Amino acid sequence: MLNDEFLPPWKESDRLAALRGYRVLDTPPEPEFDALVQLAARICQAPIALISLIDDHRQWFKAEVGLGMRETALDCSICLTMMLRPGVAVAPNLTEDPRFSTNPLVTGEPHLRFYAGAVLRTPDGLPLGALCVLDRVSRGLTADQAFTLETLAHQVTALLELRRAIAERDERLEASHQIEQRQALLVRELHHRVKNTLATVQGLVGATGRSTGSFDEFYLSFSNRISSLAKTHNLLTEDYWQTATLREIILNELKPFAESQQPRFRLIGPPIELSADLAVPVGMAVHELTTNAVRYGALSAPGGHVEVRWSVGETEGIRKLHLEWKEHGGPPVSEPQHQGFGTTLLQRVLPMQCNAEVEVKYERDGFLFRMNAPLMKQRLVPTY
Amino acid sequence: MTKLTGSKPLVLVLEDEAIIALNLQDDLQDAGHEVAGPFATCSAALEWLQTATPDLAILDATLKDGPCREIALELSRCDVPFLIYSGHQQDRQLLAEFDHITWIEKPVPSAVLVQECQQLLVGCD
Repeated sequence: MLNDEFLPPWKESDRLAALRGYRVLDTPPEPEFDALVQLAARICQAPIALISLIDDHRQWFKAEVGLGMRETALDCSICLTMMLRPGVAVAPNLTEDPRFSTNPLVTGEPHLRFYAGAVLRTPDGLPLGALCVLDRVSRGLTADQAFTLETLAHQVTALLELRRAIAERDERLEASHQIEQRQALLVRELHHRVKNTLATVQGLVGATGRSTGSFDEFYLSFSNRISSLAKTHNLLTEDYWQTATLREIILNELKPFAESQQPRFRLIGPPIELSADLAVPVGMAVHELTTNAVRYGALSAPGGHVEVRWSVGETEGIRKLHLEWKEHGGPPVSEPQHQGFGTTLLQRVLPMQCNAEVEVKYERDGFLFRMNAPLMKQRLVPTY
Repeated sequence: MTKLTGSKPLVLVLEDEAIIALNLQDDLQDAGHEVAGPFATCSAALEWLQTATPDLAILDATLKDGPCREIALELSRCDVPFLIYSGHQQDRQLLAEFDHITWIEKPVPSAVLVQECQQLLVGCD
Protein backbone atom coordinates (compact mmCIF):
# COMPACT_ATOMS: atom_id res chain seq x y z
CA MET A 1 0.00 0.00 0.00
CA LEU A 2 2.83 2.36 0.86
CA ASN A 3 4.65 4.36 -1.76
CA ASP A 4 7.47 2.38 -3.30
CA GLU A 5 9.68 5.40 -3.87
CA PHE A 6 11.57 4.49 -0.70
CA LEU A 7 11.99 1.05 0.73
CA PRO A 8 11.30 1.80 4.40
CA PRO A 9 13.61 0.23 7.02
CA TRP A 10 10.57 -1.06 9.01
CA LYS A 11 7.73 -3.47 8.41
CA GLU A 12 4.22 -2.14 7.89
CA SER A 13 2.91 -4.68 10.44
CA ASP A 14 5.29 -3.28 13.09
CA ARG A 15 4.24 0.26 12.22
CA LEU A 16 0.54 -0.63 12.57
CA ALA A 17 1.18 -2.47 15.85
CA ALA A 18 2.97 0.62 17.21
CA LEU A 19 0.05 2.82 16.11
CA ARG A 20 -2.50 0.52 17.78
CA GLY A 21 -0.32 0.48 20.89
CA TYR A 22 -1.12 4.16 21.43
CA ARG A 23 -4.83 3.25 21.75
CA VAL A 24 -5.72 6.56 20.14
CA LEU A 25 -7.64 5.56 16.97
CA ASP A 26 -11.35 6.41 17.14
CA THR A 27 -11.06 8.19 20.47
CA PRO A 28 -13.05 11.43 20.89
CA PRO A 29 -11.41 14.83 20.29
CA GLU A 30 -9.19 16.04 23.13
CA PRO A 31 -8.49 19.76 23.78
CA GLU A 32 -4.70 19.19 24.05
CA PHE A 33 -4.54 17.90 20.46
CA ASP A 34 -7.10 20.42 19.17
CA ALA A 35 -4.95 23.28 20.53
CA LEU A 36 -1.91 21.99 18.63
CA VAL A 37 -3.70 21.94 15.22
CA GLN A 38 -5.16 25.39 15.91
CA LEU A 39 -1.69 26.67 16.69
CA ALA A 40 -0.26 25.02 13.53
CA ALA A 41 -2.99 26.59 11.36
CA ARG A 42 -2.45 30.05 12.86
CA ILE A 43 1.36 30.02 12.71
CA CYS A 44 1.36 28.68 9.13
CA GLN A 45 -1.57 30.98 8.19
CA ALA A 46 -3.34 28.01 6.61
CA PRO A 47 -7.11 27.38 6.68
CA ILE A 48 -6.69 23.63 7.32
CA ALA A 49 -4.54 21.73 9.83
CA LEU A 50 -4.67 18.03 10.75
CA ILE A 51 -3.13 15.44 13.03
CA SER A 52 -3.38 12.55 10.57
CA LEU A 53 -2.68 8.95 11.62
CA ILE A 54 -2.21 6.36 8.90
CA ASP A 55 -4.19 3.21 9.69
CA ASP A 56 -4.20 0.10 7.44
CA HIS A 57 -7.08 1.23 5.21
CA ARG A 58 -7.73 4.88 6.13
CA GLN A 59 -6.22 8.02 7.54
CA TRP A 60 -7.82 9.07 10.80
CA PHE A 61 -7.61 12.56 12.29
CA LYS A 62 -7.02 12.88 16.01
CA ALA A 63 -7.59 16.63 15.58
CA GLU A 64 -8.50 18.88 12.66
CA VAL A 65 -9.48 22.45 11.77
CA GLY A 66 -10.97 23.56 8.47
CA LEU A 67 -11.64 20.17 6.85
CA GLY A 68 -14.75 18.94 8.67
CA MET A 69 -13.86 15.23 8.42
CA ARG A 70 -12.58 12.70 10.99
CA GLU A 71 -11.18 10.28 8.44
CA THR A 72 -10.68 9.64 4.71
CA ALA A 73 -9.78 6.65 2.55
CA LEU A 74 -6.07 6.18 1.97
CA ASP A 75 -6.27 7.21 -1.69
CA CYS A 76 -7.10 10.72 -0.44
CA SER A 77 -4.07 10.77 1.84
CA ILE A 78 -1.16 13.03 1.07
CA CYS A 79 0.39 12.30 4.49
CA LEU A 80 0.73 8.63 3.52
CA THR A 81 3.38 9.64 0.98
CA MET A 82 4.82 12.61 2.82
CA MET A 83 5.35 10.90 6.17
CA LEU A 84 8.08 8.81 4.56
CA ARG A 85 10.25 11.90 4.21
CA PRO A 86 12.36 13.24 7.06
CA GLY A 87 11.60 16.61 8.64
CA VAL A 88 8.99 18.87 7.02
CA ALA A 89 7.73 17.81 3.57
CA VAL A 90 6.26 20.54 1.38
CA ALA A 91 4.19 20.26 -1.83
CA PRO A 92 3.71 23.87 -3.05
CA ASN A 93 1.32 23.05 -5.89
CA LEU A 94 -0.59 19.78 -5.66
CA THR A 95 -2.19 20.10 -9.15
CA GLU A 96 1.27 20.13 -10.71
CA ASP A 97 2.64 17.33 -8.54
CA PRO A 98 2.26 13.97 -10.37
CA ARG A 99 1.95 12.17 -7.00
CA PHE A 100 -1.14 14.15 -5.99
CA SER A 101 -2.68 15.68 -9.12
CA THR A 102 -5.35 12.96 -9.32
CA ASN A 103 -6.11 12.98 -5.55
CA PRO A 104 -9.92 13.40 -5.07
CA LEU A 105 -9.37 16.20 -2.55
CA VAL A 106 -7.28 18.04 -5.18
CA THR A 107 -9.49 17.41 -8.22
CA GLY A 108 -12.73 17.96 -6.25
CA GLU A 109 -13.83 19.63 -2.99
CA PRO A 110 -12.09 21.23 -1.14
CA HIS A 111 -9.67 21.73 -4.10
CA LEU A 112 -6.47 21.51 -2.09
CA ARG A 113 -3.42 23.19 -3.64
CA PHE A 114 -0.79 23.38 -0.90
CA TYR A 115 0.50 20.82 1.60
CA ALA A 116 3.16 20.97 4.33
CA GLY A 117 3.55 18.17 6.85
CA ALA A 118 5.89 17.21 9.69
CA VAL A 119 6.14 13.49 10.33
CA LEU A 120 4.93 12.06 13.65
CA ARG A 121 7.55 9.50 14.57
CA THR A 122 7.71 7.06 17.50
CA PRO A 123 10.87 7.03 19.64
CA ASP A 124 11.79 3.88 17.66
CA GLY A 125 11.57 5.82 14.40
CA LEU A 126 8.29 4.38 13.07
CA PRO A 127 6.15 6.96 11.25
CA LEU A 128 2.56 7.13 12.50
CA GLY A 129 1.32 9.97 10.26
CA ALA A 130 1.85 13.72 10.14
CA LEU A 131 0.92 17.06 11.58
CA CYS A 132 0.07 18.93 8.40
CA VAL A 133 -1.31 22.22 7.15
CA LEU A 134 -3.20 22.64 3.85
CA ASP A 135 -4.36 25.55 1.74
CA ARG A 136 -6.61 26.08 -1.26
CA VAL A 137 -4.00 28.26 -2.98
CA SER A 138 -0.54 27.36 -4.14
CA ARG A 139 2.09 28.80 -1.74
CA GLY A 140 5.14 28.05 0.44
CA LEU A 141 6.24 27.94 4.09
CA THR A 142 8.75 30.29 5.78
CA ALA A 143 11.68 28.78 7.68
CA ASP A 144 10.10 29.85 10.98
CA GLN A 145 6.80 28.25 10.04
CA ALA A 146 8.55 24.99 9.03
CA PHE A 147 10.51 24.97 12.30
CA THR A 148 7.34 25.57 14.34
CA LEU A 149 5.43 22.87 12.46
CA GLU A 150 8.19 20.34 13.19
CA THR A 151 8.35 21.38 16.86
CA LEU A 152 4.57 21.03 17.19
CA ALA A 153 4.81 17.57 15.58
CA HIS A 154 7.22 16.56 18.35
CA GLN A 155 4.69 17.84 20.87
CA VAL A 156 1.99 15.67 19.27
CA THR A 157 4.24 12.61 19.58
CA ALA A 158 5.07 13.50 23.19
CA LEU A 159 1.34 13.77 23.97
CA LEU A 160 0.71 10.40 22.34
CA GLU A 161 3.50 8.85 24.43
CA LEU A 162 2.06 10.35 27.60
CA ARG A 163 -1.40 9.11 26.71
CA ARG A 164 -0.08 5.60 26.18
CA ALA A 165 1.85 5.63 29.47
CA ILE A 166 -1.32 6.62 31.30
CA ALA A 167 -3.37 3.92 29.54
CA GLU A 168 -0.75 1.30 30.42
CA ARG A 169 -0.63 2.46 34.02
CA ASP A 170 -4.43 2.24 34.24
CA GLU A 171 -4.35 -1.29 32.83
CA ARG A 172 -1.74 -2.32 35.38
CA LEU A 173 -3.78 -0.75 38.19
CA GLU A 174 -6.86 -2.62 37.00
CA ALA A 175 -4.91 -5.89 36.87
CA SER A 176 -3.53 -5.40 40.37
CA HIS A 177 -6.99 -4.49 41.59
CA GLN A 178 -8.26 -7.79 40.21
CA ILE A 179 -5.43 -9.66 41.90
CA GLU A 180 -6.34 -7.96 45.19
CA GLN A 181 -9.97 -8.97 44.81
CA ARG A 182 -8.97 -12.54 44.02
CA GLN A 183 -6.71 -12.58 47.07
CA ALA A 184 -9.50 -11.26 49.30
CA LEU A 185 -11.79 -13.97 47.95
CA LEU A 186 -9.24 -16.68 48.65
CA VAL A 187 -8.64 -15.39 52.18
CA ARG A 188 -12.41 -15.46 52.84
CA GLU A 189 -12.56 -18.98 51.43
CA LEU A 190 -9.64 -19.98 53.63
CA HIS A 191 -11.45 -18.61 56.70
CA HIS A 192 -14.49 -20.67 55.77
CA ARG A 193 -12.44 -23.82 55.42
CA VAL A 194 -10.48 -23.28 58.63
CA LYS A 195 -13.66 -22.68 60.63
CA ASN A 196 -15.25 -25.74 59.08
CA THR A 197 -12.20 -27.85 59.83
CA LEU A 198 -12.20 -26.68 63.46
CA ALA A 199 -15.89 -27.51 63.80
CA THR A 200 -15.23 -30.93 62.23
CA VAL A 201 -12.38 -31.56 64.67
CA GLN A 202 -14.72 -30.62 67.50
CA GLY A 203 -17.22 -33.12 66.10
CA LEU A 204 -14.48 -35.77 66.01
CA VAL A 205 -13.62 -35.06 69.64
CA GLY A 206 -17.25 -35.66 70.62
CA ALA A 207 -17.68 -38.74 68.47
CA THR A 208 -14.39 -40.28 69.54
CA GLY A 209 -15.15 -39.50 73.18
CA ARG A 210 -18.47 -41.31 72.98
CA SER A 211 -16.93 -44.46 71.52
CA THR A 212 -13.84 -44.82 73.71
CA GLY A 213 -13.58 -46.02 77.30
CA SER A 214 -10.35 -44.52 78.61
CA PHE A 215 -8.34 -41.38 78.04
CA ASP A 216 -5.46 -43.35 76.52
CA GLU A 217 -7.81 -45.04 74.10
CA PHE A 218 -9.43 -41.69 73.28
CA TYR A 219 -6.09 -40.03 72.74
CA LEU A 220 -4.84 -42.75 70.41
CA SER A 221 -8.01 -42.95 68.30
CA PHE A 222 -8.39 -39.20 68.14
CA SER A 223 -4.80 -38.44 67.15
CA ASN A 224 -4.88 -41.19 64.52
CA ARG A 225 -8.01 -39.65 63.03
CA ILE A 226 -6.51 -36.17 62.98
CA SER A 227 -3.32 -37.52 61.45
CA SER A 228 -5.29 -39.32 58.75
CA LEU A 229 -7.24 -36.14 58.01
CA ALA A 230 -3.98 -34.22 57.74
CA LYS A 231 -2.55 -36.82 55.35
CA THR A 232 -5.56 -36.50 53.04
CA HIS A 233 -5.15 -32.72 53.10
CA ASN A 234 -1.50 -33.17 52.12
CA LEU A 235 -2.65 -34.89 48.95
CA LEU A 236 -5.02 -32.14 47.88
CA THR A 237 -3.71 -30.09 45.00
CA GLU A 238 -3.05 -26.45 45.57
CA ASP A 239 -5.57 -25.03 43.13
CA TYR A 240 -8.91 -23.58 44.15
CA TRP A 241 -10.76 -26.83 43.61
CA GLN A 242 -8.32 -29.09 45.42
CA THR A 243 -8.36 -32.66 44.19
CA ALA A 244 -6.52 -35.81 45.28
CA THR A 245 -6.06 -39.17 43.57
CA LEU A 246 -8.14 -41.95 45.09
CA ARG A 247 -5.28 -44.45 44.92
CA GLU A 248 -3.04 -42.22 47.01
CA ILE A 249 -5.82 -41.57 49.54
CA ILE A 250 -6.11 -45.32 50.05
CA LEU A 251 -2.33 -45.83 50.10
CA ASN A 252 -2.05 -43.23 52.86
CA GLU A 253 -3.69 -45.77 55.15
CA LEU A 254 -2.49 -49.07 53.73
CA LYS A 255 1.14 -48.09 53.04
CA PRO A 256 2.39 -49.61 56.35
CA PHE A 257 1.37 -53.02 54.96
CA ALA A 258 3.21 -52.58 51.66
CA GLU A 259 6.49 -53.94 53.07
CA SER A 260 4.99 -57.30 54.01
CA GLN A 261 6.41 -60.43 52.33
CA GLN A 262 2.93 -61.64 51.54
CA PRO A 263 0.78 -59.06 49.76
CA ARG A 264 -1.67 -57.65 52.33
CA PHE A 265 -3.75 -55.56 49.97
CA ARG A 266 -4.65 -55.14 46.30
CA LEU A 267 -5.86 -51.91 44.76
CA ILE A 268 -7.76 -52.36 41.51
CA GLY A 269 -9.22 -49.35 39.71
CA PRO A 270 -8.63 -46.61 37.16
CA PRO A 271 -6.82 -43.36 37.98
CA ILE A 272 -9.38 -40.94 39.40
CA GLU A 273 -9.20 -37.52 41.00
CA LEU A 274 -11.60 -36.73 43.85
CA SER A 275 -12.46 -33.16 44.79
CA ALA A 276 -11.93 -32.17 48.42
CA ASP A 277 -15.55 -32.61 49.44
CA LEU A 278 -15.35 -36.28 48.48
CA ALA A 279 -11.63 -36.89 49.09
CA VAL A 280 -11.80 -35.90 52.77
CA PRO A 281 -14.76 -38.14 53.79
CA VAL A 282 -13.42 -41.02 51.66
CA GLY A 283 -10.03 -40.61 53.35
CA MET A 284 -11.72 -40.76 56.76
CA ALA A 285 -13.72 -43.83 55.71
CA VAL A 286 -10.58 -45.65 54.52
CA HIS A 287 -8.92 -44.77 57.83
CA GLU A 288 -11.80 -46.31 59.80
CA LEU A 289 -11.88 -49.37 57.53
CA THR A 290 -8.14 -49.91 57.96
CA THR A 291 -8.30 -49.39 61.74
CA ASN A 292 -11.10 -51.95 62.02
CA ALA A 293 -9.28 -54.42 59.75
CA VAL A 294 -6.16 -54.12 61.90
CA ARG A 295 -8.11 -54.60 65.15
CA TYR A 296 -10.65 -57.24 64.19
CA GLY A 297 -10.42 -58.10 60.48
CA ALA A 298 -8.16 -59.35 57.75
CA LEU A 299 -5.16 -57.26 58.77
CA SER A 300 -5.27 -58.69 62.32
CA ALA A 301 -4.21 -62.17 61.12
CA PRO A 302 -0.97 -63.07 59.29
CA GLY A 303 -2.63 -64.54 56.18
CA GLY A 304 -5.36 -61.96 55.68
CA HIS A 305 -5.56 -59.38 52.97
CA VAL A 306 -7.82 -56.57 51.74
CA GLU A 307 -9.00 -56.05 48.19
CA VAL A 308 -10.12 -52.57 47.21
CA ARG A 309 -11.83 -52.15 43.84
CA TRP A 310 -13.25 -49.03 42.35
CA SER A 311 -14.73 -47.80 39.10
CA VAL A 312 -16.68 -44.88 37.74
CA GLY A 313 -20.06 -45.48 36.13
CA GLU A 314 -22.85 -43.30 34.86
CA THR A 315 -26.48 -43.87 35.81
CA GLU A 316 -29.21 -41.49 34.70
CA GLY A 317 -26.66 -38.88 33.71
CA ILE A 318 -24.94 -38.87 37.10
CA ARG A 319 -21.33 -40.03 37.32
CA LYS A 320 -20.82 -42.20 40.34
CA LEU A 321 -17.83 -43.66 42.10
CA HIS A 322 -18.27 -47.31 43.06
CA LEU A 323 -15.89 -48.39 45.77
CA GLU A 324 -15.69 -51.84 47.33
CA TRP A 325 -13.56 -52.90 50.30
CA LYS A 326 -13.51 -56.65 50.83
CA GLU A 327 -11.47 -58.49 53.43
CA HIS A 328 -10.16 -62.05 52.96
CA GLY A 329 -8.37 -64.57 55.15
CA GLY A 330 -9.03 -62.94 58.49
CA PRO A 331 -10.65 -64.49 61.56
CA PRO A 332 -14.31 -65.54 61.15
CA VAL A 333 -16.52 -62.46 61.08
CA SER A 334 -19.57 -61.79 63.17
CA GLU A 335 -21.75 -58.70 63.65
CA PRO A 336 -20.18 -56.47 66.35
CA GLN A 337 -22.22 -55.93 69.50
CA HIS A 338 -21.10 -52.39 69.99
CA GLN A 339 -21.20 -49.79 67.23
CA GLY A 340 -18.07 -47.68 67.26
CA PHE A 341 -17.45 -44.38 65.53
CA GLY A 342 -15.90 -46.19 62.57
CA THR A 343 -19.18 -47.84 61.67
CA THR A 344 -21.09 -44.63 62.39
CA LEU A 345 -18.83 -42.80 60.00
CA LEU A 346 -19.38 -45.37 57.25
CA GLN A 347 -23.12 -45.70 57.72
CA ARG A 348 -24.19 -42.20 58.67
CA VAL A 349 -21.51 -39.69 57.70
CA LEU A 350 -20.90 -40.91 54.15
CA PRO A 351 -24.58 -40.90 53.14
CA MET A 352 -25.11 -37.47 54.63
CA GLN A 353 -21.89 -35.83 53.50
CA CYS A 354 -21.48 -37.35 50.04
CA ASN A 355 -25.02 -38.44 49.19
CA ALA A 356 -23.54 -41.92 49.06
CA GLU A 357 -25.37 -45.21 49.16
CA VAL A 358 -23.51 -47.40 51.61
CA GLU A 359 -23.60 -51.12 52.29
CA VAL A 360 -21.85 -52.74 55.26
CA LYS A 361 -21.86 -56.55 55.41
CA TYR A 362 -20.34 -58.76 58.09
CA GLU A 363 -19.89 -61.72 55.74
CA ARG A 364 -18.47 -64.74 57.51
CA ASP A 365 -15.41 -65.03 55.23
CA GLY A 366 -14.59 -61.35 55.47
CA PHE A 367 -16.00 -57.89 56.09
CA LEU A 368 -17.49 -56.12 53.05
CA PHE A 369 -18.06 -52.40 52.50
CA ARG A 370 -19.60 -50.92 49.34
CA MET A 371 -20.19 -47.31 48.46
CA ASN A 372 -21.80 -45.52 45.51
CA ALA A 373 -21.09 -41.80 45.63
CA PRO A 374 -22.03 -39.21 43.01
CA LEU A 375 -19.10 -37.26 41.57
CA MET A 376 -19.55 -33.52 41.26
CA LYS A 377 -21.22 -32.66 37.97
CA GLN A 378 -20.21 -29.04 37.65
CA ARG A 379 -18.26 -26.64 39.70
CA LEU A 380 -19.15 -23.10 40.49
CA VAL A 381 -15.92 -21.23 39.93
CA PRO A 382 -15.95 -17.76 41.43
CA THR A 383 -15.08 -15.06 38.89
CA TYR A 384 -12.02 -13.05 39.69
CA MET B 1 -49.74 -27.17 66.38
CA THR B 2 -48.90 -30.84 66.47
CA LYS B 3 -45.87 -31.87 68.42
CA LEU B 4 -44.29 -35.19 67.62
CA THR B 5 -43.16 -35.81 71.19
CA GLY B 6 -44.62 -35.75 74.64
CA SER B 7 -42.29 -34.41 77.27
CA LYS B 8 -39.01 -34.12 75.36
CA PRO B 9 -38.58 -30.91 73.36
CA LEU B 10 -38.21 -31.54 69.64
CA VAL B 11 -35.24 -29.75 68.03
CA LEU B 12 -34.98 -29.39 64.28
CA VAL B 13 -31.33 -29.48 63.15
CA LEU B 14 -30.06 -28.16 59.81
CA GLU B 15 -26.36 -28.79 59.25
CA ASP B 16 -24.60 -29.97 56.10
CA GLU B 17 -21.31 -31.05 57.65
CA ALA B 18 -22.14 -34.60 58.64
CA ILE B 19 -19.69 -34.99 61.51
CA ILE B 20 -20.78 -31.70 63.05
CA ALA B 21 -24.43 -32.66 62.51
CA LEU B 22 -24.12 -36.09 64.11
CA ASN B 23 -22.21 -34.72 67.08
CA LEU B 24 -24.85 -32.01 67.50
CA GLN B 25 -27.54 -34.67 67.38
CA ASP B 26 -25.80 -36.78 70.03
CA ASP B 27 -25.19 -33.76 72.26
CA LEU B 28 -28.83 -32.70 72.07
CA GLN B 29 -30.07 -36.22 72.74
CA ASP B 30 -27.70 -36.51 75.72
CA ALA B 31 -29.23 -33.28 77.05
CA GLY B 32 -32.72 -34.80 76.85
CA HIS B 33 -33.93 -33.43 73.52
CA GLU B 34 -35.53 -35.22 70.61
CA VAL B 35 -33.85 -34.40 67.27
CA ALA B 36 -35.53 -33.96 63.91
CA GLY B 37 -32.98 -34.37 61.13
CA PRO B 38 -30.18 -33.50 60.86
CA PHE B 39 -31.07 -32.15 57.42
CA ALA B 40 -28.29 -31.19 55.01
CA THR B 41 -30.54 -29.21 52.66
CA CYS B 42 -33.20 -26.53 53.10
CA SER B 43 -35.52 -28.40 50.74
CA ALA B 44 -35.48 -31.58 52.85
CA ALA B 45 -36.17 -29.55 56.01
CA LEU B 46 -38.98 -27.60 54.32
CA GLU B 47 -40.59 -30.87 53.30
CA TRP B 48 -40.41 -32.09 56.87
CA LEU B 49 -41.91 -28.82 58.11
CA GLN B 50 -45.00 -29.50 55.97
CA THR B 51 -45.90 -32.34 58.30
CA ALA B 52 -44.53 -31.33 61.70
CA THR B 53 -43.58 -28.39 63.89
CA PRO B 54 -40.55 -28.46 66.19
CA ASP B 55 -40.25 -26.70 69.54
CA LEU B 56 -36.94 -25.22 68.53
CA ALA B 57 -34.50 -25.16 65.62
CA ILE B 58 -30.75 -24.91 65.12
CA LEU B 59 -29.79 -23.68 61.65
CA ASP B 60 -26.46 -23.60 59.92
CA ALA B 61 -26.46 -20.34 57.94
CA THR B 62 -25.62 -21.96 54.62
CA LEU B 63 -26.76 -25.43 53.66
CA LYS B 64 -25.93 -27.54 50.64
CA ASP B 65 -28.67 -25.87 48.60
CA GLY B 66 -28.07 -22.31 49.81
CA PRO B 67 -28.73 -19.92 52.72
CA CYS B 68 -31.29 -20.97 55.33
CA ARG B 69 -33.50 -17.92 54.68
CA GLU B 70 -36.64 -19.79 53.67
CA ILE B 71 -36.49 -22.04 56.70
CA ALA B 72 -35.93 -19.07 58.98
CA LEU B 73 -38.95 -17.30 57.45
CA GLU B 74 -41.11 -20.41 57.80
CA LEU B 75 -40.08 -20.87 61.44
CA SER B 76 -40.76 -17.19 62.18
CA ARG B 77 -44.22 -17.59 60.65
CA CYS B 78 -44.95 -20.59 62.92
CA ASP B 79 -43.50 -18.79 66.01
CA VAL B 80 -40.84 -21.47 66.42
CA PRO B 81 -37.77 -20.05 68.18
CA PHE B 82 -34.46 -20.76 66.45
CA LEU B 83 -30.78 -19.94 66.59
CA ILE B 84 -28.22 -19.75 63.83
CA TYR B 85 -25.04 -21.75 64.36
CA SER B 86 -22.50 -20.60 61.82
CA GLY B 87 -18.75 -20.47 61.37
CA HIS B 88 -18.81 -17.52 59.03
CA GLN B 89 -19.10 -13.86 59.97
CA GLN B 90 -20.00 -13.06 56.35
CA ASP B 91 -23.21 -15.06 56.71
CA ARG B 92 -24.50 -12.33 58.99
CA GLN B 93 -24.50 -9.94 56.02
CA LEU B 94 -26.07 -12.63 53.88
CA LEU B 95 -28.94 -13.03 56.34
CA ALA B 96 -29.09 -9.44 57.57
CA GLU B 97 -32.86 -9.57 58.15
CA PHE B 98 -32.34 -12.14 60.94
CA ASP B 99 -29.83 -10.02 62.82
CA HIS B 100 -32.01 -10.04 65.96
CA ILE B 101 -31.84 -13.85 66.11
CA THR B 102 -29.29 -15.54 68.37
CA TRP B 103 -26.09 -16.13 66.39
CA ILE B 104 -23.60 -18.61 67.73
CA GLU B 105 -20.24 -18.80 66.09
CA LYS B 106 -18.86 -22.25 65.37
CA PRO B 107 -17.33 -24.03 67.09
CA VAL B 108 -18.62 -23.74 70.68
CA PRO B 109 -18.69 -26.38 73.44
CA SER B 110 -21.87 -28.41 73.26
CA ALA B 111 -22.83 -27.21 76.76
CA VAL B 112 -23.03 -23.62 75.49
CA LEU B 113 -25.26 -24.65 72.61
CA VAL B 114 -27.53 -26.71 74.85
CA GLN B 115 -27.79 -23.83 77.31
CA GLU B 116 -28.79 -21.42 74.51
CA CYS B 117 -31.46 -23.90 73.46
CA GLN B 118 -32.83 -24.05 77.01
CA GLN B 119 -33.03 -20.27 77.14
CA LEU B 120 -34.98 -20.14 73.88
CA LEU B 121 -37.37 -22.82 75.14
CA VAL B 122 -37.91 -21.00 78.45
CA GLY B 123 -38.35 -17.73 76.58
CA CYS B 124 -41.32 -19.03 74.63
CA ASP B 125 -43.20 -20.60 77.55
